[in-house]
Amino acid sequence: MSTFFPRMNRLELTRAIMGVIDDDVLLVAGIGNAGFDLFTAGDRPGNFYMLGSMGMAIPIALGLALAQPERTVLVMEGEGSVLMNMGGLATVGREAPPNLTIVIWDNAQWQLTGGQPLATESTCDLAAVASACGISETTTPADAPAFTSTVRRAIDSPGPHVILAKIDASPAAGRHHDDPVFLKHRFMQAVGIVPD
Amino acid sequence: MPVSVTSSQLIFDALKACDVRIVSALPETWLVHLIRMAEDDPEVTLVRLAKEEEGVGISAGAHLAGVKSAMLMQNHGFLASINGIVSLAHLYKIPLLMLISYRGEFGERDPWQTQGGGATVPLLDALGIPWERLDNPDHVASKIRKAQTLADSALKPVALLLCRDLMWEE
Repeated sequence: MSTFFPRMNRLELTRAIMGVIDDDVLLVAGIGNAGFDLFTAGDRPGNFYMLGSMGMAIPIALGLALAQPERTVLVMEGEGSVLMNMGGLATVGREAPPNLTIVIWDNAQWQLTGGQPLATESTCDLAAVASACGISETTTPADAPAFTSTVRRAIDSPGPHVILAKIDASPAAGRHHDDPVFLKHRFMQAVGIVPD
Repeated sequence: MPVSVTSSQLIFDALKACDVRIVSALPETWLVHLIRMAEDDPEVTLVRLAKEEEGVGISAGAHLAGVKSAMLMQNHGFLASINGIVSLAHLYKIPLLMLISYRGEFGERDPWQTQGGGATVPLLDALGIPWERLDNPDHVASKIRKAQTLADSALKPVALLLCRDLMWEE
């Protein structure tokens, strides 16, 4: 990759997402900082915060998108989790749910464990991976305004979409609730499902 | 290929009767007819996976959205799904209806299936996953319905082991 991307700030971009989505958009956040910054940017019942099962955010969002084809689903997932379950992008590409947008936060490190580098630091371009999986609406915005307009376009047009955001290593400011059953019930109510 | 079409149809009809509308699957020999039936049914969305653990996430998402789902996998796919089962389905109390082709039992000719066959039930027990064998066509409909009932009441994964005597005709 020869293109230089000034690194953006995850919380600022998460706030930008919150600023352009409708209230009924379902948001899924992968483990760790994706969820922490989503909580800080705007906690709401329609946010599903993952705990523990690294790599599962995109499949969860795919299941939601297939089960609720009238709702827009947007998932925010870290690059390490995407790498852990890279086949999930191929599954999304094949199913091609038009109502699914995937935002990948890529700061080229396993940030929560101390910043160890991973393959996106040097050799792996997850936007190229997503494109090669058949997700043609794949974008790597150059700056925050471009990111915001890309998100707006993604939720207003048929997908699936992948938005690869090159971000810095700023730590997350907050922490979301960590009771899984509470998070599940609250989210199901936001979907309009009687919680189990 | 002596995979039982009759038993596959019984299983698929039972899933339909349970209102299953999303089926995730990764092919294995014993599952080919079942997967084809899911693919051909306009009321069912078949999601072809790259790895079985994805099916845990898809079923979780479907559950959050109020849609019944089932997972078709081989027992080695169950082994490949364990973190998702533990850290997603168990942690969030999410029902999973897992139909697992039970390779590696008596009659198994493929050496590479035998280790996983021996590990399947001990792992189900270790994970606290209720399971039953499905080896008699007469029991297919009732056991699948009861398995789903338990998954939904206990809010946890349950497993039906699709056995050789049900799935293989020779």
